[in-house]
Amino acid sequence: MKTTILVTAAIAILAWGNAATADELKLKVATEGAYPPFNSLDASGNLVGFDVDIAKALCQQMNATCSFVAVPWDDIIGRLEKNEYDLVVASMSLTEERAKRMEYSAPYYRSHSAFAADPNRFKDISPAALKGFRIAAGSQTIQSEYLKKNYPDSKIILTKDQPEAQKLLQAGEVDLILADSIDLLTFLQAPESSKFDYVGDPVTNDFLKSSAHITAHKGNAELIKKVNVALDQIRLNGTYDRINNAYFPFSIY
Amino acid sequence: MTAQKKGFQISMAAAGRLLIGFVLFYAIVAAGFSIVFLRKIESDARYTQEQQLPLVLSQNRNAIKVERLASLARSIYLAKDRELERQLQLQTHVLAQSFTLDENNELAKGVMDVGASVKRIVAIREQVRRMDYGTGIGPDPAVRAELEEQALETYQSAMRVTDKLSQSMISDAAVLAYGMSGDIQRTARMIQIAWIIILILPVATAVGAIYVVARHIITPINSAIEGLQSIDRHEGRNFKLRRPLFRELSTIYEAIEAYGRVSSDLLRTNSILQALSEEDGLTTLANRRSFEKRLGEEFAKAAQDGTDLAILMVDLDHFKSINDHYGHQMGDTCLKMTANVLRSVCAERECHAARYGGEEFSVVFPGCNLQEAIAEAEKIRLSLSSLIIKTSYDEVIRITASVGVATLKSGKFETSSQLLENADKALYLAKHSGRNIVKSLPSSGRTDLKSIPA
Repeated sequence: MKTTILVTAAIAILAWGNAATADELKLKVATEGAYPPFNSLDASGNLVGFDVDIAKALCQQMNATCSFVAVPWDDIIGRLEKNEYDLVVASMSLTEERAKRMEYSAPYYRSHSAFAADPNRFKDISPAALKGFRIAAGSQTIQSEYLKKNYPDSKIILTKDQPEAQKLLQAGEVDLILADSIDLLTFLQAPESSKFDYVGDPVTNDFLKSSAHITAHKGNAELIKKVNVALDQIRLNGTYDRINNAYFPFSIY
Repeated sequence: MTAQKKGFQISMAAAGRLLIGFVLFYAIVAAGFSIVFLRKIESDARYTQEQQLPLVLSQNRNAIKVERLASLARSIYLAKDRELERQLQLQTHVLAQSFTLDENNELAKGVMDVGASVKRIVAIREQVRRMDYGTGIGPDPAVRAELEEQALETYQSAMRVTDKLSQSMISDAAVLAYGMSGDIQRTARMIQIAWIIILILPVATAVGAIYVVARHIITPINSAIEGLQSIDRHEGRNFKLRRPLFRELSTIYEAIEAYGRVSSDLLRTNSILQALSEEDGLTTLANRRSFEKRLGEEFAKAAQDGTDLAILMVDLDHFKSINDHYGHQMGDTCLKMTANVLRSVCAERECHAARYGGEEFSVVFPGCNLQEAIAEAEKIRLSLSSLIIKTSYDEVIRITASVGVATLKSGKFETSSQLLENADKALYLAKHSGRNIVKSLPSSGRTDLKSIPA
């Protein structure tokens, strides 16, 4: 009799345990898909890039099943707020406004912005020197905010994503672009961009130093807490470095 | 007891409360200490996790990045290919700028110098290439060698900077890591010591409590029990117990000591009373009751051993007239003198004398036959008649006594009272034979006393 009870109890516990594991986290992750090498769509339409690989590593660490969706940059915050997905892993840097609208993780990489242009035409990048020139930046980016504030006399052209801005530069429709320096590296290394280079001294302005964060909709701090733990774990177990080294010649953390 | 109320003494209840208080105090202190201590460890661990560890990791990361920067600079120096130089220089640019993200000005400045050096190398190389192809004049070997010299110098200075940076980076990380491990070690040692103390103290307290119980409760109780036993055995009167530490035990001790005193007093009183009950107050000879008891014992002994036993009944003659004539005081003196005579007889040979009643005395001689008994009786009669007793008016009183003798073997006696009765009859005979004479009944002589002439 006693044995029967014990066995039943054991089975019950096992069944409960199984139920608990079966009830694993299912997450929908959004990224832009137009920001190589961080996130982009490959020839067959799959999302690839540093952000995507980091997101996948985090999902594995959190024991979550994740599905990915590509969302245009302009819509990415609005649709998060409509609960269309749980997380945004899209090289998003923090601004005061974004911090108000979303929960955000610890930084998962750091970067800074830089101007890219024809080095023979531009050396000085002060607002005075760039007066009247056309500068492109992605819309709703920290770079566009920075330009609006600090380069009122330049003509600022906002593009829907970074590839569009880069195309404008190549086509000669803009004179400079202000973008993330790591993002620009991929662009500048392409053979088509050989006449362009980083211009100006390193930008030490705090505003243009930025860190990328994973975000979730306001109120979902629990999920962000899990993401932070997973982030620490992949940083310590080498997964992060492996992904980093696949995309960049040096650590971007 | 008041003389003993010296030195330290505490009540057991108070000691118990004190112990409980100490245990509670200790528990609170230990808990408080543990909480504070564990909090400190927790905050240390958090500090290590949040501050030191990231710092060590970032130093480590920067060291690797500096190495990477050095290898980029080396590649650029060796590349001598425009396209490759451009790729490497772009990487160098981003890498060098990434150092500005850390708050380390010295590092950032060093790295920027390397970046500038790399730019210079690229510029020199571009100059050489322009000389080679651009001008069409062909290279001037001297100028070219000079430019190469400049490129080499720039490269070497860049290498010196990166070496210095990575050196300081690695040693900084090592110092940090060493500090961290030192902190951990110190904390571990503190935990060790703290727990040894936390664990040893209760053990020491328990040992102390057991010692106190054994030394100050069990031992005193045992000595109290021994005291009670010695009182029961009527020994160690007026014993003193060592003063106990606990007041409750003192009370018990006082009770035991009082009991001991009362007990020994009773014992003494008892023996006095016993002596008094067996003694004649006036002559201090044995009284009739104790004489009869003694006689019974001697009779039984003689009957058992088959030895003889003699009884003398001594009666002072005309004692009433002495009393009447000289007063009771003198009568008492006569009785005392008689007692002295009998006592002196019993000092010479084994006999027991007693005042049988009034002016009548009795003496028992164990192992004495009739002949010897008559001789002793005669000796007593003579001694008494030779006594000269003076009154306070210098009158001389002379006394005489009649003695009746009976021996065990001179008749058939079943009990000591029969023997006594026989001696009494012999005394009666002596009285009727004119007094101041020793008489015994003949062996067949248990005749009717009435036939004896008065």
